[in-house]
Amino acid sequence: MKKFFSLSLILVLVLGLSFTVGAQELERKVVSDSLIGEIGEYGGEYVISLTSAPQTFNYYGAIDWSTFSIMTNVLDSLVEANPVTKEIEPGLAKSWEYSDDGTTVTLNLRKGVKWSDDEPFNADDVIFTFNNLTLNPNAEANEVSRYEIEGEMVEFTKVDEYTVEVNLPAPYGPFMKILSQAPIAPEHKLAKHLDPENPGAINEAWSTGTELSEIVGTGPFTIDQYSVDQKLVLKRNPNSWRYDSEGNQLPYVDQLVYVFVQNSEVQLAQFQAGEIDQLTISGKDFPMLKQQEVDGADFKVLTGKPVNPTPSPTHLSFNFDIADKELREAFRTLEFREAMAHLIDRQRIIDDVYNTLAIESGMPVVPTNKAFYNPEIEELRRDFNLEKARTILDDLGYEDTDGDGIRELADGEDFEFTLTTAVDSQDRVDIASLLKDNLEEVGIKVNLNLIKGSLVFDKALAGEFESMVMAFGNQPDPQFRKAIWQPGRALYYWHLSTMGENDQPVMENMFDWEKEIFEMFEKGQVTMEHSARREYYDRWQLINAQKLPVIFITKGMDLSAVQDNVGNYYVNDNGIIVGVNYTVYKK
Amino acid sequence: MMNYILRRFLYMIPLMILISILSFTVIKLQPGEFGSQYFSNPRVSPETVENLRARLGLDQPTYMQYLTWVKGIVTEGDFGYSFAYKRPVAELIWERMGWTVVVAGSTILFTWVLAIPIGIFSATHKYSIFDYVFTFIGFIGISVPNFFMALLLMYLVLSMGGTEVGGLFSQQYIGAPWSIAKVIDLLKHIWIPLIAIGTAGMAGILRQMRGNLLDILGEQYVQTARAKGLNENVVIYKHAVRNAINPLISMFGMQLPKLISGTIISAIVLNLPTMGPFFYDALINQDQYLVMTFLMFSAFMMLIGNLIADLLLALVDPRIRLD
Amino acid sequence: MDKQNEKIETETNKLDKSVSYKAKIVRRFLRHKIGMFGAVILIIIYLSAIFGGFIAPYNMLQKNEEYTYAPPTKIHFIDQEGNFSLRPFVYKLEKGRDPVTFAVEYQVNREVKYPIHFLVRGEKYKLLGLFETDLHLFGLEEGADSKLFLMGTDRFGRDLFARTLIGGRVSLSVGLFGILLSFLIGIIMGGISGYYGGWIDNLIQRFIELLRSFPRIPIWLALSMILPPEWSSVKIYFGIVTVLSFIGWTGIARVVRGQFLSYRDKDFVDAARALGASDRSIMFRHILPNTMSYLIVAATLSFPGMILAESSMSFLGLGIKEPMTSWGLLLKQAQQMSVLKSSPWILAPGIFIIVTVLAFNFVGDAMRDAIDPFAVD
Repeated sequence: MKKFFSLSLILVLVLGLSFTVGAQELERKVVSDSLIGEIGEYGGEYVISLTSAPQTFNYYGAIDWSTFSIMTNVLDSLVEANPVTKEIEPGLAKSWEYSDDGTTVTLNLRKGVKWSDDEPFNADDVIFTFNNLTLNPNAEANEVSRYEIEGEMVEFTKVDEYTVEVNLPAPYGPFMKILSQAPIAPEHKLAKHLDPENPGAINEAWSTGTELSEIVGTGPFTIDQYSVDQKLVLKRNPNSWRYDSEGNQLPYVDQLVYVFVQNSEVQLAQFQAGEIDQLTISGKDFPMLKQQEVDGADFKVLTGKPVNPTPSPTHLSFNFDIADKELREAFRTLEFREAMAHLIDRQRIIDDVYNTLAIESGMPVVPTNKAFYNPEIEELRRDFNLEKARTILDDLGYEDTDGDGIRELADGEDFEFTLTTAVDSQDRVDIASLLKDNLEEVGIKVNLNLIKGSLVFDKALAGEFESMVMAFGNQPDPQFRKAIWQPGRALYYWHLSTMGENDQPVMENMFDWEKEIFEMFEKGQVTMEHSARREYYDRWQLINAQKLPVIFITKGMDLSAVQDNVGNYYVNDNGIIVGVNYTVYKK
Repeated sequence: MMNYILRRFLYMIPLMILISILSFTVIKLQPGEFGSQYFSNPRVSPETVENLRARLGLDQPTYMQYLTWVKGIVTEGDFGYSFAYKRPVAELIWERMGWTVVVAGSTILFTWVLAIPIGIFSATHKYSIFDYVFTFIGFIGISVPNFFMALLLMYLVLSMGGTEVGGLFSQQYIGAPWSIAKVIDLLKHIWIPLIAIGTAGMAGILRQMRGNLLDILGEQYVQTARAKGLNENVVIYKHAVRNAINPLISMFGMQLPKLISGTIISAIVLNLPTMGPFFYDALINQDQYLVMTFLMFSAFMMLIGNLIADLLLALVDPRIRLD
Repeated sequence: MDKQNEKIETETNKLDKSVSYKAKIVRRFLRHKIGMFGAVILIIIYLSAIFGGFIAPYNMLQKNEEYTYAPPTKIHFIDQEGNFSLRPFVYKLEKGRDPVTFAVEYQVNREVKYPIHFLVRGEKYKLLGLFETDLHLFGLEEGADSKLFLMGTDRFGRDLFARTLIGGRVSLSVGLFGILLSFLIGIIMGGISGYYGGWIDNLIQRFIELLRSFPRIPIWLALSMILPPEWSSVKIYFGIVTVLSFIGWTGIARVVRGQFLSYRDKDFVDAARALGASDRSIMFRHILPNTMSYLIVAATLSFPGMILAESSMSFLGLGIKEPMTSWGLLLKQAQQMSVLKSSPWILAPGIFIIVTVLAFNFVGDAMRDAIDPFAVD
């Protein structure tokens, strides 16, 4: 009896244990070595800064850089792009399979993950997030357009507690990359904010006035304390599922602190005072900080090859649809744009505007992006050569016939146009100013038109400009920016006549090479195989370099200053800056 | 008296309505609108922006937007909704009110506590070295732009190895409970805004105080008092200063409203958590109801300040009657 | 304010037609040392802004790749060997870059020196905007392989001295035009208000009250954002003038109204009326001249506000735009702490603002004293 009792006790224990193990054991993620230079120590706070306070804590509630930066520490996506290599890694989904035809994706969710309030995470949260936030057209920061393929929506269905099936209307090459930018939010906290009467109500969920305990996540950190407009403290999430290779739960630091400092000069001062641990800086500030480092200050200044969307690479564009017939003729002529390309003194721009800390940028794909960059374009880059530009312009028949130092168009008017750029970006204003000088050197009169940054796009998309110095951030996958680079899409602003109603391209208004680019993007989207996709995008980059729809100028390097007592913030062997909030530690 | 105050308040109503119409027109005349800023964002499709406009009511005619806003205020005391923050505007402004009043209040304290005695001393010691020095400082004070003063001070502190620039606290004290260390930290920070913002005002009051007192010291009743053999201190402090300060009292009422709306630029340079930079951002982003409410609030403060100035004047100067 | 008006009034009444009153004011002003000092400074500043192209050795728009953020050039009289020359000279400046910090550095090459000459030929400019010439007051001889930057250069190697002088044109004239416009509106509105009285007076007074209830700086910022972005620099410039005058005229109007109210029943006005003079002629030919001395003082004293306002707006980037420049816009680059630290000479335009405003205050004060009838002569 006694034996039986103990046996059954053991049985119960074993069963119970195995039951709990089966349901709750956390399937940890061991973070890639690419993010960890050395195993860190626990403790301390890591202070970084943002230029403005978050508008909300609802990732999908506002298009706001601060919200985005903060909430990506709190919420996790199903898959994640490695912050350094940009490769797709498991996130809340620990694995995934594609069906043979490439239209069904099965996502296996990580088991045992808990929200920071100890509620379990499961497939319901995923379905909730996609249906009510990511793909909710009323959510202000929705991502509907990314999940629409050939006019049909991607669909998410729950198979069981830990399995989600995704149905794609057609094969969709960049799908995983897109998934990596859709963090999953908790159903048990947000469902109550849905209001069938008022579809916009979801945007008011998790506003900055919310009780902070309401805001829960699966990410490495969770929000602890908020002082309006001044500082936000995040603390370690005890339920974090990321571990280092020695089995230490991440993050290393106890607290992640954001301070909100609008003025970049004050940020700089506070960094020098040691109040901020890490700061992204501009080329202009580099010499001062570097000098202090050389003189023995307790911080170091790091220079890295560009990997991030920002600083955005600048380009020069001409309005192909400008009303003036003569100018339109010129802008649409490849030789004219080549002449303009010869007038860009990139070396001087890099020297004077970026303090030498920039690269000559060929394309919207950064050279460090090994998956997509096509190095061939470097040979096609036009050198700075005033003589060549003059010869081309002469050959095109734009000559100065009345001796006033300005070339004339065919109708006898001066060759003169405005160059528009954002007044709040000193870099762009400086570049525009240098371009103006070079153009005037060869007899083309340029009037600068400096306008408020937020208006630049209004003007661009209304076609109310003649030429522009503009910049769009780089993204890891060309698909992310097809709205810009694919002719006829919503942001193809220099050739608006290719843009039809309802996002339908007007093929007959495209140049032949634009049609080809269009084709490449269409194919790149529905192809699953990377090497095939890569060929399409290589071709696109090549056409761009040859035909110059826009002329790329420069891209600033990644510059960062970091206090000496911050560990795991370093430049790796490939020259890229590594420093992730959940792997840095305080020495 | 009560009657007078009541009448002034009633009179404010049409004035505020006109101010609001004018402000709204000015805001609406700006090119672009809230939403323009989002086009370059890879997460945003043009349809989303359209959607956003519809939800925020930006697709309605301007006068409708205005009327809806006014209706909200009148019927529910609701000053509208911030597009960017997705929260009631009144709440957002209230949150920033505390530090705004602290900075403005201590600036007022700083300027008046210094300016009045110096002004009196300068006037009573006319043409002394002291007087020349402070007259000169007064001149400089009203000639240096606030933002330039802020820049200079920050530069000086930094180049001398100081670290307490920008904001009101070092970051470790933000949100921390009050302690002596926190107060000391505040004092280490707040002197820069006080000087940057307060110098011009102080110089102005100093000059005015000196001028007024000199005028009054030249008047016959003061001469008479002196002739009567009154102690010089009694003459100055009991008779002259009292009268010389009256015109300044009317300035006093306007100090707070002027400081709340007049220090935007230096507050931006100095990164203060006050309403100025907040308003500037809202203006740039065209967060219209936030801008409107701030403008209305500032205008209201100006009106109240005016009223207070008049009341104070009547209080200290029995010759003035309110009717 | 009002008290002062009264004083001026009584005084002007006493001395209505007397020529000696004006002479007295002028004499008093001339005797005011600080006021005269301010006046001389202002004359110098205005002249150098007007003839900026001639005085500065270089064109304000000329970029010099070889001299970005060059410090003010040192001028020497004694060379390496200790020889004194009456003709000042400069040494050749060579740009380099620190290999570690990438900071721009300048080496003085003492082997090569260039004398400074008066009236040299250089970059072309238009004198007074009319005559094209290349004559400059001073500079290095043509062909010299170095430059003379009295106040250093900016990020494009543009001569800050030239930029400050030419930028002064904007800063100094914005005040001038702003005040002209304010006065024009202020005198007309105040005049009508005071002369006619009644409901017109009431209406205008209420309107003034309305405008004065606006918080000044916020409404300036809001107004300056209305200016269409595609406007040229010149249009923006006049836009800024208008914005600054938007509230500025109300103060003037109040003063003018007060004066007109007190004059309109005076004998000489009645006389003019009896002789059949029109209202307009009475207002502007008979009454206005009597208030002139006060208005001039008020104008002088409102200059500083205008100049400070323009510089603040340009400093925020809401005012004047490149390629035009103003003192405020020149200071915008000083917002960068690192630049400020490595190239403190970019603060120089701020000193110009301070000196100008100071001089205006000196002059204004002196003028106020001069028209003060109770001042001991």
